[in-house]
Amino acid sequence: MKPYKLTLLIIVVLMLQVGFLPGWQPLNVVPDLLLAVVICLALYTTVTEALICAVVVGLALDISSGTDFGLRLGFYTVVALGVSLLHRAGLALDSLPWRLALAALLTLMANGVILLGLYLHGANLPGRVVASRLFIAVVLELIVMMIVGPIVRRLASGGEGMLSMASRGKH
Amino acid sequence: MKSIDSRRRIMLVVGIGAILVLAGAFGALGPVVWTYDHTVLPVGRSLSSAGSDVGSFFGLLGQVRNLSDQNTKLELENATLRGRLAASADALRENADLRRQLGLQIAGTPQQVGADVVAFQPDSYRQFLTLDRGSSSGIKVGQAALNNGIVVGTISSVSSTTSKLQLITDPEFALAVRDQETGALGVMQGQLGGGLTIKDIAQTDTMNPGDTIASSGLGGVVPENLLIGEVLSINAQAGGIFKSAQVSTTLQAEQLRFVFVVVGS
Repeated sequence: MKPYKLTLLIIVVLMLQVGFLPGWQPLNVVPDLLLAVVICLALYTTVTEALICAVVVGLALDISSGTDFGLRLGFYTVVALGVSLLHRAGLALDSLPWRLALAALLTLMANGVILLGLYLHGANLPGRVVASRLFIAVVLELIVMMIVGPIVRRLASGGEGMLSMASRGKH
Repeated sequence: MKSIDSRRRIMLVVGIGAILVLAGAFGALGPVVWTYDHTVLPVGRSLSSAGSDVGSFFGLLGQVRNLSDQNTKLELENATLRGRLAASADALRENADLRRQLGLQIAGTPQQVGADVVAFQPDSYRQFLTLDRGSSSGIKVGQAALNNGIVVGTISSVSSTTSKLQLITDPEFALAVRDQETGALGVMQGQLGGGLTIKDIAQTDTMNPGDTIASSGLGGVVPENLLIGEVLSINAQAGGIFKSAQVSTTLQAEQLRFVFVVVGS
């Protein structure tokens, strides 16, 4: 992906994920746009580009969050590395069913990490609320993934940037 | 050769990420946070507000059917509260007279600093807000924030120009509270989904549905008698040492735009 496209994508994702989506919170859940973008970048471009997006936006989310500093940056970095590694190992993860399955699984993991932290601190977590939020989070993530996938693929196919060219042949 | 370059690039990005996390853990991210506060936050603030408007619009569509019922209920509540306010005004006047006669100092209203909400928590479980005022405005960790005269949370962290507000509905929020009518003490905790629970109420203490709950002023920098909500129900188990209570709250985090931080009493 060309550097200006990657920069533009990161700025748009950053602003939506830090500003618009937490303000909106459809059905009391903040959709995870960054997760879908990092998965798609890891599948359609290079791991370095996915990592840059994960680190920049993950750090912004950590600064914006009132707690658990480093959790988001760490999680999205691991997602970028893991998805890229599995894809390069031969798994055809770029098909729609695989992308949706990845999005659902990783959403459950991301939510699970936060919920586990709360549980270990003895927080008050009504089972019905947890279950409904997890369900809504997964459904929203699937919708986000269906929208984001074609956009990132189109941006990635529009031309290779310096990072992609340097990595070509290796991946 | 290219493969080595690519690996190095990956290691470099991961290394930078790890250094940033470590720096954050040791509180050495000041310049990065300052840059974030002065570049991302101003734009994010407008987008948060736009997102909140979109949420309010859809929320309103869902509530249209119940508006008539809600209006009747609110009118009734309004009349009750006006009655209570009148009684409180009399009590305040009488209290001030008695204090004057006894030569005691009259407590002033708490000193407050107004702050705009500039960002919301970016996940679905925790309840934190970013405010546009920080230590340079006298804000400190632990201070309470009010909206419409009701406690909405306490300050959890502060930088020079911004601060984080932990809302009372956060699952890890805890505050010492008192029943205004009976004097019963307890610890109020938030819960996922927005409810409030008071725990550790002694079985011998009395607390009734409808009682007003306010801060007790114990164990922190939150002054006493800041209004929080009303008791909805009591849960007492036979043989238990403590009982608990559910408290009502009208707080809707996504609609908060402005709060007052109590910086002095």
